[in-house]
Amino acid sequence: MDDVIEYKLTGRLDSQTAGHHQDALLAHLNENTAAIALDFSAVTHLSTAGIRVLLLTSRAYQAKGVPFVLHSLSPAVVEVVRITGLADLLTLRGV
Amino acid sequence: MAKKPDRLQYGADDIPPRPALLLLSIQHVCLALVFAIYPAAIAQKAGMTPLQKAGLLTATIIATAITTFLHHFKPPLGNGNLTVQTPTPVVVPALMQAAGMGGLPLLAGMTIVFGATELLVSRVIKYLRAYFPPEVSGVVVMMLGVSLAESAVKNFTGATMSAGLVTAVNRDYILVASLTLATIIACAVFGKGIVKLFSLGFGLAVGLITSKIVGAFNPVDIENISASPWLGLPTINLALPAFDVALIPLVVIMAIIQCVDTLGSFISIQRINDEDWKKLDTDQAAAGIQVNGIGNVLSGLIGGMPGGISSAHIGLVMASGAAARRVGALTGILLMFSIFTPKLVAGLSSIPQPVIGALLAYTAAFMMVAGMELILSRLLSERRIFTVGLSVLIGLSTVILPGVYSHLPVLLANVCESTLAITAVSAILLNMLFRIGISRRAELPANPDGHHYETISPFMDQIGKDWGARRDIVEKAATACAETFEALAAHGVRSGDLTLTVEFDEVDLLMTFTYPGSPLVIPTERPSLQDLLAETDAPAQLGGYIVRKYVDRLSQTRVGDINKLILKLEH
Repeated sequence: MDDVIEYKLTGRLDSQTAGHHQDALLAHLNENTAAIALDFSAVTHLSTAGIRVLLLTSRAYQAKGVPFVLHSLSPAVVEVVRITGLADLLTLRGV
Repeated sequence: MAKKPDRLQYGADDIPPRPALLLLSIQHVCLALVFAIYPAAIAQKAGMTPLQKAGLLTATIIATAITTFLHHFKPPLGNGNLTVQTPTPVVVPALMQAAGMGGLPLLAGMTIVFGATELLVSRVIKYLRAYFPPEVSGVVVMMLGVSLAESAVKNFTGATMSAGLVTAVNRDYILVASLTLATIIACAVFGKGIVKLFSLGFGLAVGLITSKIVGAFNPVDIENISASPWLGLPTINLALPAFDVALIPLVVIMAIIQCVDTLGSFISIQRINDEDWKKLDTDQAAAGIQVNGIGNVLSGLIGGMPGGISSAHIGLVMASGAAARRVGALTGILLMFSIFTPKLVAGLSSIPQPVIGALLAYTAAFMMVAGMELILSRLLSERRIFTVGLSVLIGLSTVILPGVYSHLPVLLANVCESTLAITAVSAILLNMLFRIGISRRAELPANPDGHHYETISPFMDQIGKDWGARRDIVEKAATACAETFEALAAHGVRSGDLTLTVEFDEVDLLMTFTYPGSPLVIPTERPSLQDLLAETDAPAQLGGYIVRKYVDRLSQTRVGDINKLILKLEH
């Protein structure tokens, strides 16, 4: 049975934490993952390095046909999404 | 050049079709006439005769009509927007005191002082902002609500007093006032669009009907309404204005507060009219304040009370999507025509006591919360907490211990015995006192591990509190700085130590990054998805792009090997 992975991020997703989150997210790539849902409700800061990790991991999951969804975006993240036009590049829910 | 937002059907310079122009103007006139409540409350407090009441109201409408019409012209004659002038609640407590002391002549004189102060302040308003930060204006607005509370409660209950104690209340008055207030609240809380905007008008209508049923109208006023013709020449009380030196400081302070409040109104108006709004056009705001001043001097000369730009009408502009200044011009003309309907003027000046009580209760409650909101819009350091707390306490001392300052010289006693004036003076002085010793420049110490959001955010938060900066601007600045640090590291443009200096002057927040190295690449277009995923410098360029989007202005200078990246956020 395939699983839906719920991944909750807290604090900042920037150059200092991006590598750790990239490894953690890609660890589920070869499992029986039906979908991966990223909870952004507790993210205080999203930087360029964080955006790049999201784009890379999203691409990796999409290549395997696994939905990669960001949801419950905090106000700080909503602003970055608005500025960068990330909504065109990633799947967002509950913005 | 302002960019008209999509939600606006008619921008400031658009000309609506004639039927729409007329309907929109009638809506503004109806809303404006509801504000007759303020001169009616002053007249009621001063025990004026029906003729005096009608004169005060007529003069006030004439002045607000002319001012509204003038506002529609472009600067310097007007402000070039749809802004409607209505009697202002800011000065009601002071004018109640003036009308009680010296009747219509003193009321007229103090209105002239109010207008003349606005004329002077319009020249220097941009320099005064530092002395009236939101916590000072907020405290004054909040205490304005407290000052109106006594009149509100007495009128609401019809209380009769003896030796400072209540001897009886009028149950009919309480019923009428409760129904009026309940209608206003129901429309404001549950209503939408026009119903919400006209909540005061609906409350007034319910109040008048129930007053008629229970007999709360003053019989003399009823006779006056019946005797007044539908069409006729208006009543004006041309009294020689009188001045009382003891009241002037109080009125001057209130006029300055009104000017600061008007700046807030212009921020709203300019935002409505310009999709790309970034900064207050102070020349336009100064022109608006100048017109207000002219209108209020005129109002005093013909026996009226002061007015100000109505925030309720700004709400109506937003809700209707019509910001055409021609609507303002026609509103002014129609308001002027309304004074030739003596029955309407007599009706408006005969608003019964419990209805006045309910409307004042609503205004008082609204003002108290609006003041609190203003206070909390800025980050509060200990210094600012004491500025707010102590000035409220000093203001309340006049309510808790009436007459506590009566032993002072008469000029000082008049200011100190006014809740509003002593609060305003205390807040202004405490703000100036607590500004001493605060540097308007701060430097973020170097961090061997590099800076990131969690080291920058507390630093920005602390200086934001010390300087009383806007919460949203400080948060934006922290994010922009964190992104800049990251972009500079990713680009590899820096070859030595990086320092961040932050400066604040109430108008702008400047962040300067100084480092040896080459300038940061700051693209105007976002890098493509392909570029972002490739191992290029596109992610670093995205950082530069985000920083550009976060700030209002960005510039780089280079002297020798030293590069300076300056980010500016308008405050």
